[in-house]
Amino acid sequence: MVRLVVLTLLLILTGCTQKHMIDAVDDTAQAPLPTMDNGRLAALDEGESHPALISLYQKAEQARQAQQWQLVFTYLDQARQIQPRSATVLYRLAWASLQANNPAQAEQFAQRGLIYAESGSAVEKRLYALLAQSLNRQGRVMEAYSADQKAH
Amino acid sequence: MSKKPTQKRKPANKKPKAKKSTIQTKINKPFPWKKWFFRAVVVGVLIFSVWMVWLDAQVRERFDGKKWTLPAKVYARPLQLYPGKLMTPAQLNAELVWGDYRQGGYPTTPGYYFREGDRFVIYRRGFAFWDGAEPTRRLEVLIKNNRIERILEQNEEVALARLEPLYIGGIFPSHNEDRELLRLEDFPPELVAALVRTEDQYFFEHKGISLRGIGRAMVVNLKAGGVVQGGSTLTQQLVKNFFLTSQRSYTRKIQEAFMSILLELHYSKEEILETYLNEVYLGQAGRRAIHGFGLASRFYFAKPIQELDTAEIATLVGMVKGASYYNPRRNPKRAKSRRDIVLGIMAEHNIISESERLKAQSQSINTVSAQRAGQREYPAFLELVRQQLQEDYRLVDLQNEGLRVFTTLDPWLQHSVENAASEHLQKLETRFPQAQGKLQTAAVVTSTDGAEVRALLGGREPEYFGFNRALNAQRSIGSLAKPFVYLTALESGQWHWGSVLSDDPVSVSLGGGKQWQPQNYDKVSHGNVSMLTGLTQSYNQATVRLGMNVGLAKVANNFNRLGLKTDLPRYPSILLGAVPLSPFNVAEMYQTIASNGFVMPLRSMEAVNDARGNLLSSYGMEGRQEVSPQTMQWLRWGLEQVTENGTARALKGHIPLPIAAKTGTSNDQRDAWFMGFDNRHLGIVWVGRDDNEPMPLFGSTAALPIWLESFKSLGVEPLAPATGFGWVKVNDQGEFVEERCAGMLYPLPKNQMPTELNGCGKSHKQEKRKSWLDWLF
Repeated sequence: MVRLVVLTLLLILTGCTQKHMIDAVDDTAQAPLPTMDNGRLAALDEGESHPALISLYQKAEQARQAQQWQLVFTYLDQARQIQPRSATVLYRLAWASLQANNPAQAEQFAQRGLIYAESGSAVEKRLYALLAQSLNRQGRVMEAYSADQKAH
Repeated sequence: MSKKPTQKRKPANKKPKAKKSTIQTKINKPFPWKKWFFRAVVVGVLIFSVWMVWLDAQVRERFDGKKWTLPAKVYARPLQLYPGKLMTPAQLNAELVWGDYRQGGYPTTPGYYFREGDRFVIYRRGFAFWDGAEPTRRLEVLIKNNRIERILEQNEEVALARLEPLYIGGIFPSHNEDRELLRLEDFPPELVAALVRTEDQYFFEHKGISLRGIGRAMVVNLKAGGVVQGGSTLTQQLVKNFFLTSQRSYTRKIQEAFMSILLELHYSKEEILETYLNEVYLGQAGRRAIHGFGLASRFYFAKPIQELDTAEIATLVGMVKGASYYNPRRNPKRAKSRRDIVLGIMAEHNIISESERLKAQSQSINTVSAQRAGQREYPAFLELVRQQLQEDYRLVDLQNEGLRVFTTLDPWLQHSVENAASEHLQKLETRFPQAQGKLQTAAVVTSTDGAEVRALLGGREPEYFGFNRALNAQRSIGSLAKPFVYLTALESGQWHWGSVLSDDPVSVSLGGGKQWQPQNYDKVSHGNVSMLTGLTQSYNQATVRLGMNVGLAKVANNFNRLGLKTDLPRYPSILLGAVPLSPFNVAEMYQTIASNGFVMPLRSMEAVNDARGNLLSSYGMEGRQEVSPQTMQWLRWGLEQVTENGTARALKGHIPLPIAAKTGTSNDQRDAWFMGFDNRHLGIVWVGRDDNEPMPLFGSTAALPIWLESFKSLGVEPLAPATGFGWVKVNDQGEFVEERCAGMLYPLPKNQMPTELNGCGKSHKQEKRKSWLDWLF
């Protein structure tokens, strides 16, 4: 009976910790994830971030819509220099790279983002999804499949 | 004999008669002067016409096309300002001063700032950044606890702003001419008027040459008994500077006159004046020739030309007569008396009022230092920029097309490194007089995450365009090679930081009966030590034994995997750093360690614009994952212990934060190295002698203090704790033991955590410990 009570208490505590961790991710990931449109990022300036990053994301999004990829990357790189270890900044860099038909670069940004993404967080899953897409585009199907498994 | 003139054989009575009659006819006829004169005139006119056509072509070709070769202008990184940014008031103040901002009351014009403690009001100038032009802005920046707290513009919160970047040098053609091109309307009207009235008051009336001007000059010169005034018009001066050599001859003078007339025939007075204002030579800054009033204004007064006051305008106009003779820095008295003459002319012609003249004349000549940050060059860093630019651009384009290159250089950090190196070398030479004037240094500082080169020191005289030790010195790296040996061991899966190594004397067979027997620096063997101790105490014998054990080829391969582009010979001595590399090469390899296993080329550029401001190239972060982040963090933990209780423990007293570091000293103390990185920056420092002679110094005494002082002024951010590791106790046999046993705790990747732990004093055959799940169920 005592064991059952302890186990129940532990499970409850584990649940609380889990919830707390998700909140913590949202707080500490600096930039909560943008909304998704059919499983894909819709725009670079979605979501909440540090105001300095928002201003750069807005410029990057305008440049993206004008297909000015050099400008997109220069704005996103400025954001990266402000928060070099933000998984969400690296996520945007990976996403933009994929849009600019550079899956190899997207792969590297996604891998980089995974270093700083909280384990089990939403951003980690999305980075794995992007990694899977970029690997797929490079014809590395098995690796893509493995990344895709981690995205779900 | 047979060679007698044939004439003599001819009948004498006929031919001479005929000849005589022709000569007589010729004598009787008057010489056709007119005809010959006419011919000569025709030929002369023809030659003159051809010459004029040629001159005309010369004038038009040069004037119609691009008038100047424009060297690429190189800028440092712009200073980003945003709430939350780590920034001391001292840094912001220094960057404003370097950017030629002037401190005063509440600023009402761009280029000025106001400071009250930690509150700054900055009237930022407009600037064409690589990603777009930005207008002037008046920003209020509030700093609290060395972080920017708020930025306001007209009482509205600002999320992000930036100061225009510092000019850090140019990529010049061989003549080293530099100028800031301006349009006529950009010059203050007072300056243009003063120039015309002083140098050529009939400029708007003559057609290139001025007889009145020549006459007036002759009169003045006769009165003075020497040449005190030239008769050349501004157009002639321009022709002389623009098309001709400085040789003094009548031919050149005539050519100059004709070219001046041609120039005036084809081009408006305004075009000629604008060209003159941009062309005129106004001084020298080292190798760099200062041309045009735009650049001269910045060079002498640290202001854009629109911000010059009357006295400064008159000083610059006065220099046209002789840029060296009337140089306001070197010859302030002469420059002042010339300036006052110009002020008199300005007042005489109502360009300024009499009271303005008196006010301006009462001012002393105040120039700014030629060596200040805003006008000095950074040769070592520029060399790197040039090398990297040449991968994408032709040198001729870099020298001629007016490109604008935006780089990653952080002037605050660069100055910190320069000052730290200079001060520390002086201290060392005071302590060791035998090294007086012989010590040299080099340093590279990069950002750990983006591999941007933030500072580069090529020698102890940072403004000297000479041997760039940071890029080109090839020196043995000594113990900086050791982490590559330990990385190879950690990656093998057979070693961990608690593994035991023997530090007993070691002998490596080199073949042919030769033996290599390296010793520890202190000539003492330490018996069995942990792998961690081998690294932190930099034991040679233990490291060589480990390196030979994990495999020389694997260690050498790791140098390449981590970014070294040249192949290393498979000699055992590479394990102790008998590898000649430049500080930049070393930084490239350690960058991979600092950035969690991503190999990234060190980058000195952000972007390149053409002369019109169009973005030509932008350079973002690049890299590929070569070593797993977890292995790198494992290695990094070992390097953190070097500052905790190893050869770099001197750091701990100054910076009690987790920092990864490694000292290095090559054979016979010929090279002293230090590598260290925190969460933001990686720094490599080398100290040695150019003649490669030994020094009484080590990495920890010669190079470490330079790193320390540089990073202290930068602000150290501690390394983030490694993730994905568990802790396990290891006994002095290198065995994993239970927590209650004697031993030391070491980190292990979670996927390598032992499933079984040894009991205290026993080895492996321990009973399997029950897990808490066993207890629960």
